Order: sequence, then structure tokens, then C-alpha cells
Amino acid sequence: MAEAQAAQIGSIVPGSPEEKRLHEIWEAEPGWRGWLSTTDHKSIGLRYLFTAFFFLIAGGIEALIIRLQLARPNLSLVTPEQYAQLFTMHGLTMIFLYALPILSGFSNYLWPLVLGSRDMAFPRLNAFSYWIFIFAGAFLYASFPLGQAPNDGWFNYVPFSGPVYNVGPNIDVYALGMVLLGLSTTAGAVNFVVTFLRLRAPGMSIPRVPIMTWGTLAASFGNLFAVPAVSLAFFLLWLDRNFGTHFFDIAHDGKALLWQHLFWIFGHPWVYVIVLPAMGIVSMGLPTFCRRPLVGYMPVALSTVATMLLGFEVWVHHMFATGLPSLSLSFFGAASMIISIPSAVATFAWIATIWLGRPVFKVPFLFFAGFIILFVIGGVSGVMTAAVPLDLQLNDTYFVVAHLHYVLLGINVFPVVGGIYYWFPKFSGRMNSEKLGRLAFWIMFIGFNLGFFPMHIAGLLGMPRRIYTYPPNMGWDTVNMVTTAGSFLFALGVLVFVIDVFYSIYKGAKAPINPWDAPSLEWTTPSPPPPYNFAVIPFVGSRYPLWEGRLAEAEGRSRLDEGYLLMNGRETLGTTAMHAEPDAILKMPADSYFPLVASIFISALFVALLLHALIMAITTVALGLLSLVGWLWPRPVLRMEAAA
Amino acid sequence: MEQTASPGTFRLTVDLCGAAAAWIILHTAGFALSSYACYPHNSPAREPMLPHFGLALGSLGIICTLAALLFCWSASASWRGIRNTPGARRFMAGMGLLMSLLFLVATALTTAAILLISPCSPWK
Amino acid sequence: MSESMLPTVPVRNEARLSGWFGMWTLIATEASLFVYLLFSYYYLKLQTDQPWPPEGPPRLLLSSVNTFLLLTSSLFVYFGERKLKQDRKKAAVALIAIAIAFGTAFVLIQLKEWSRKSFSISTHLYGSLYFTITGFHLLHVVLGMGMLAVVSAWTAMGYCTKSEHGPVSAAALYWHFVDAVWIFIFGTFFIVPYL
Repeated sequence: MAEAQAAQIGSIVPGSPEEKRLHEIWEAEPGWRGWLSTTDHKSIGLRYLFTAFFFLIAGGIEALIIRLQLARPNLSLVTPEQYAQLFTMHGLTMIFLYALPILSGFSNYLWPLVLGSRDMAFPRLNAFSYWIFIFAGAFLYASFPLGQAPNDGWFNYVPFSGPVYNVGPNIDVYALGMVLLGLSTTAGAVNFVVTFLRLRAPGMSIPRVPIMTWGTLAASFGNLFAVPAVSLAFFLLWLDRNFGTHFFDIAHDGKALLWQHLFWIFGHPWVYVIVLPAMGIVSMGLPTFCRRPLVGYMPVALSTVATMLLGFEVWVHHMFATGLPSLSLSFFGAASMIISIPSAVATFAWIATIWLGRPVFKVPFLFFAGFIILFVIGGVSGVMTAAVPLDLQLNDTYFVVAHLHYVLLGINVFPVVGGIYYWFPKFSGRMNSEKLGRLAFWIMFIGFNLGFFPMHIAGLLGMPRRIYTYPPNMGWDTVNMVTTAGSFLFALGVLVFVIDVFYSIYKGAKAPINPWDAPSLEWTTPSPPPPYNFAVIPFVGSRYPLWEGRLAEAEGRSRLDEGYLLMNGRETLGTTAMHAEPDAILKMPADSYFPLVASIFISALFVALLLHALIMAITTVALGLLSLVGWLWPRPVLRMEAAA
Repeated sequence: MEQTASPGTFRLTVDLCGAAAAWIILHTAGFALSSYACYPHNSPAREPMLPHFGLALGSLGIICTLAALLFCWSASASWRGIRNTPGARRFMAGMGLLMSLLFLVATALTTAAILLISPCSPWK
Repeated sequence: MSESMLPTVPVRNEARLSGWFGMWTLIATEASLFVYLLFSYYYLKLQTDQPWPPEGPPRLLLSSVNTFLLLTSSLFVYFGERKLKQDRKKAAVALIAIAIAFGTAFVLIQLKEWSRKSFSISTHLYGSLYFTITGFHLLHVVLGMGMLAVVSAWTAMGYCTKSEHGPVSAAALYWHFVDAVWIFIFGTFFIVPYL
């Protein structure tokens, strides 16, 4: 069975010929060739971060136009149809093209570094998922300049999105774009799950796993089971619109509620998919600035997993006003209340960490602490809407808009910006400006609350969501004006943050290896890390490898300078899932154009489907499959015998 | 690292997933049955259209709650057996205990909903 | 594990390498796709007032033959994989080729069955569901046959061997999955209407 090749153990001194050789093995080709073919998780992670942030800005500009339109009563800055397209694009951009991809960026960049590996389990699949993501983003935006963008809100309810009421290409673009994006999400999820099970450093048994990986792991499992629901829903809708099927066609016994079920069976797990990894960022970063380990590692890890599981069984709380029987609603009301238990556990763990620690008020800490406050507000309004009778009152009002923005900005954007500040030295090799960072935080925090808190009041005053404009005598004038002002202030804060990032990339002080004195493995690599991450695969003896000297509770000693020397081509170590015992040497693939080529053909297939171009569709399928075969073609360098 | 007396992998898996499974079964089956019984075709019903609806669902709720209780007991026994031996198995046992407790609460609340709330919407 | 013992690591059997885990995750996500398809079917069926299926229960002969073909092909794939692990490459390729032939027969019979239907995908709700769900499955059968064809070619070319059977095992796993899904689809469309 085994072609025995024993892995050597040793150490590699920086600047030695061995280190140079590792560099050559792992480095991408220079120039555009390397740029298009690289499978380095760090490059891919940074691309994810940049692209997703670009989409955040696009979605933000759409939001600002919406807020201008709503600033005063009876304005007509945009037409009602343009308004519908703007709020739809705003929603789908933020939720699908920003919120998860930015977290995938963090996870792609950081996972191998915090797990002590040299890359993800499937480096080329990783490149593929990025290319598909950016092509799907372009696809979803393709019809926007033509004035034909999706216009039925991000959850795209039938019958308005059906063939009778929506005759343009708008919804077809949305439907096919979402199926395409689903491929990227699924590929990413597969990669994270297998990386977690397989590529952790030796000794990093389940209780020693860095806390942030639990969030992405739970989210990736969630994606595997949830994404097919939305891909299917959009595909069936596309069939209804293009081939006369009757899934959502009420006149022929189809059911409009089938759409809502399929969409929210995906949609609610998705909410947790885009918050759990962000909570993981906080659980990872906050303890560093509190100078103590996270309080309650196990309950926090457990609450992450339990939230994802519960998240699959609460989808009907988006459908409380659809006329379902009262007992049916009660099941989901109860489940939606219960899901607040694990969230509360995590919140108390963060508060206790601050309470029992000695907080250092650096910029990342401010964002993480701000997150806790916003999460509590968003959580409380969430529990309120989980109560069926109250939800019937609040359904489709601005109260819900306020809740979802508190949750999504509070639990996603604040941790993300805090996370960028936290890992910026690692990403760029430079330190951020502490002054600009503080300024950005306070403007964002004040602007956010000024902008979104009044939305609760607008909702309680009865203002429905998604209305194009409103008459002056409704009592909504002031709250809307304040909201618009707050949203511009928030945007200013984001601008300050962007300026800080670009300023610091060029002018920031050089970052040392571990500027925050943090406990996890990514801070043992130079800033920025070399292409191979770790010269030798470290051995992990406790949960906080870099804090072992000062923690009484550290149960073992890690060895970071001496470990497995894997340098016969691209190699990393495979370990067992539970105890992380060394199990196999994994041969990692070289850089390749195949992921790009395959994703071009697959994306072209979706263009062909949109245009009903049969010959193009057949050609792209054939070429896409061929490129997959080429991608997977056995290469001698990956074979075990060759390695011996 | 592990003692021989500590719970096995199968036991730990059951402790981790048992109560959650009981809740998911109750929740999914309860939702499907009540939705169909009160809204079988295109118009809502005043009373459940399935025979012995309340009795069936109530018993399912009580059975699932008892099952969740059993898994809790099992998980706490596992935890007590392994709490002094650090390592991955102790961690899994702890996760199992917390998970069982959480889903015991969930199952009990869902059963309370079944016993307290009239199945079909009275306003229709 | 204490720090004094870092064991040397042998390179092991490929069967449990990343690709094998990856195939399981692919199967998990594809299985949920079929769960949602069948959920849609039963959700719509339970609420309809129309006769279901509108043309009466479908005839069983062809689909039963198909079920037999597909399940038998799984056996051939299973034994093919086993032969490869016993280093009998030619037998492995031959067995997998037989499975592909059975798969081809399944596809042809399924197309025949489609052409015999008096309704199309747009005639009524049942037609939409029938052609979409069986179509999804047919697509997966074709994909699975493609995988089997590629890995048996690799076996013939000497890429897949006794110690290097990872691709064959992964493709075999996928094929068993496609067959298992058919049992649920067959039950839904051909057995349940008779109950």
C-alpha cells in the first residue's frame, strides 16, 4: 500500500539555501502569467477581499441614491422603476456579492496560516471559486447599465418575478447569475470543509483549533446543504419564465409559496453563513486586545455549531404573514427564540473576555467592541420579530429594515473592518494609521446608529419598506431626513477607512512579525508571509501556541522552529480529523490556467442560456468539461512513486 | 491520552447529535403535519383535517422530549466519566452535554407550543 | 502526543486523500439538491386538486428494467474498483466498461420513455415536475458515465493503479450516489402513485 517516504524533521534558517529552494517551489510566476494562474491562497484571499470591498462600495452608492430619494417627501430623483432596480441591486450586491465573499477572503487568506498549513486542500478549486465569483458578479451587473437590472427585491418573490408580470430580461439575469454564483460558493465550502478535516498542523486536535475556523466551518457546512435550495428555486423560476413550466404558476396549480419556502430554506441559513465567520473574526481578535484567552472557548465553539443547525429550522419566520396555520407559525416562533440562546452565550463570552482582561484600546478593539453593542441591539429587535403577533404588526415595515441592517452591518461590516485592521500588518507588511483608524471608527459608529436607529421608529410609525416615496403628512419626514444624514456620515467613515488603507499600504510603518503580540500561528510568519507560509510545518501543543510561556492553563508546548521538512516539490502535511496526528504527505498541485479557463467556459454557458444560444451552450459545455478533464489529468509530479 | 473507561466514539456522537435529532424530527414533522392538516388544499380549514391530530402530535412531542431527556442524561454521564482527562474526547463530551441541554430546551418549548396553541388559525 | 515524539510520516494509500473527502462533500450538496427537488414535488402534489398523475399511474415495465440496469451497473463498478485494488487492471477496465454500457442503456430507455409520454414539460404541473426531476437525474447519470469513462481510460493508460486508485474510487462513489438517488425518484414517480 505505502510507498514509504519518511518525512524528514528539521529546521530551516531564514536566508539559507533550503529556504530559497522552498521559495522557488511555491512562488507564482512573475508577471501576468503568474497573476492568471496562481493558486496561492494568500493572493486569492486578497483578491476576494478587494473584489468584495469593491462591491460593498457599489452597493453603498446605490444605498446613498436610495437615501437621497427618501430624504424628503414626494421627491422624484429617480423613477419608480429605477428605484426598484436600485434597492434590488443594493440588496443582492450586499448580501451575495459582498457579505460572504469578503468573509471567504479572510478565511482563504488566514486558514492555512492559522492552521499551520501551506495552502488550502484544493488550491486550484480555490482559484476556480474566485474566478466564478467575479464572473457571476459581472453577470449580475451586466444588465444594470441597460436599465434592465433585477427589480423584484433581493428575495425576488413570485408572481411579480414570474413570466406574466416581469417580461424583460431583468429576472433571468438574476436567476442565472445566482445559479452561477452558487457554484463559487459551493466550491469554496468544499474547500474549507476538507481543509479543516485534513490540513491542520500536527497536534492541533479539535479542542486546539483556532476559534475563528469554527465559524467558517459551520458556514461551509451550511452552504453545502443550503445553496442547492436557492439554485434550484432560481432554476425553476428560469424554467417557468423561459420554457412554460408551472412550478410557481398559480393558474396551473403551481404555488407562489413554494418560492418562499425554497428561498428561505436557503435564505435563513445564509444569514448565519454571513455572520458566523464574522463572529469568528471577533472571537479571534478580541482576546488579543484583552490580553487573555477567550472566555469559554468550548461554549463559543458549540454555540457556533448549534446556531448553524438551528438556522436551518427557522426559515418560516420570514413567512409569518403568509396565512400559514397558527401552530405551524408557533414552531418557528419558538425556534427563532431558541436561536437567541447560543447567540447570547457568545455575547456573554465576549463581554466576559473584556471584563476579565486588560483591554488595549487599539483600532481593531474599537470595531470589535462596537460590534458587540450593535449585535445586542440587532439581536433584541430580532427576538421581537420572532414573536408571531408582533411580527404581524412589524412585517414589511422599516422596523425589519432596521433590524436586518443592524444585524448585517453590525455583525458583518464592523468585524470585517476590525478584522482588516487586525490583520492589515500581515496582509500588507505595514502598520495602519492609528489616528485615521480611530477617526474612521467613530464616524462609522455614530453615522451607523444615526442612520439606522431611526428606521426602527419609522417602522413603528408604519412606514412600509421599499416604498418609492411618501406624502408629507405621515410623520415620517424627520426620521427619514435623519436616516439620510446618518447614512452619508457612515459612508464618510468608510471613505476615511479606505483612505487609511491606501495611505498605510504605501506610507505605513513596516510591520514586525507579531505587532499585537497575538497568540496564533499566523503571527509566527513574516509580514507579509512568504509563498510557502511555514518553512517547516509547526507542531502545535496548545490552543494558544505563542502565549504558552505565560498561560498557566497551557497544557503542552508547541514547536515552531523545528518540524516536518517537506520540500520535494509542493507538499504539505495531512493529519487526522480528530486528533490531528500526522497521516500523510499531501502533494499540492502547481499553478495552472485550468481554473480560469474552466470558469470562463462555465460562465459563457450561462451567457448562452440567457441568450437562448443553443450552439454556444453546447460548445461551452463541451469545452468546459474538457477543461475539467485537463484540470484533473493525473500529473506524475503529484504521484506518490515520483516522490519516493 | 485517553482512559479505557472513557466513552467511545459512537457514544460521543450519539450524545452530540441525539437531542438535536429529536428536536429536528419533532419540528419538521410537526410543521409538515400542522400545515397540511389546517390548509390541505387551496383553502384553510377551521379544524385539523387529519384524524387524531392533536393526540398524535402531542404524543410525538412528549416522546421527543423524553428522548431528548435521555440523551441529556447519557451526555452528562459521558461527561462525568471523562471530565478529568483532558484531550479531544473530553472536549467532544463537553460539546455533547451543552448541545443536549440546548436541544432539550428546544424540544420542550416546541412541545409546549403543540400542547398550548390551537392548531388552525381561528380567524379564518 | 508529547513533543519528544514527532513520528515520521509514510505516504499512504491514496484512497483517503483530499479528493475522497471532496467527493463526499460534493455528494452531500448534490443529495440536498435532490431532497429539495423531491420536497417541491410533494409540496405541490399534496396541495393540488387535480387528478395526480393527470394521465393515471405510469406504466412500470420500462422504468423497472431501468432500475434493474442501474442497480446492476453499480455492482459492476463496485467489483471493478475491487479488481483494481487487487492489481487486475484489465478486469477493472472491462467491468467499468460494462457499467458504462448499462448506463448508456439506461439513458436510451429513459429517452424512449420520455418520447412515449403524451405530455410535455409545459403541459401541466405534473409534466413540469416529471421532466425536470427525471431530467436532473438523467444529467447526473451522463455526468457519472463521463467520470467512469475518464477514470477507466486513466486505468488503461496506467495512471490509476493498485496504489493510485483514488480517481476510480471517487468516480465509483459518485456512481453509487447517482444510483441511490434513482431509487427515490423511481419510488416517487412510479411506486407512490399505485399506493
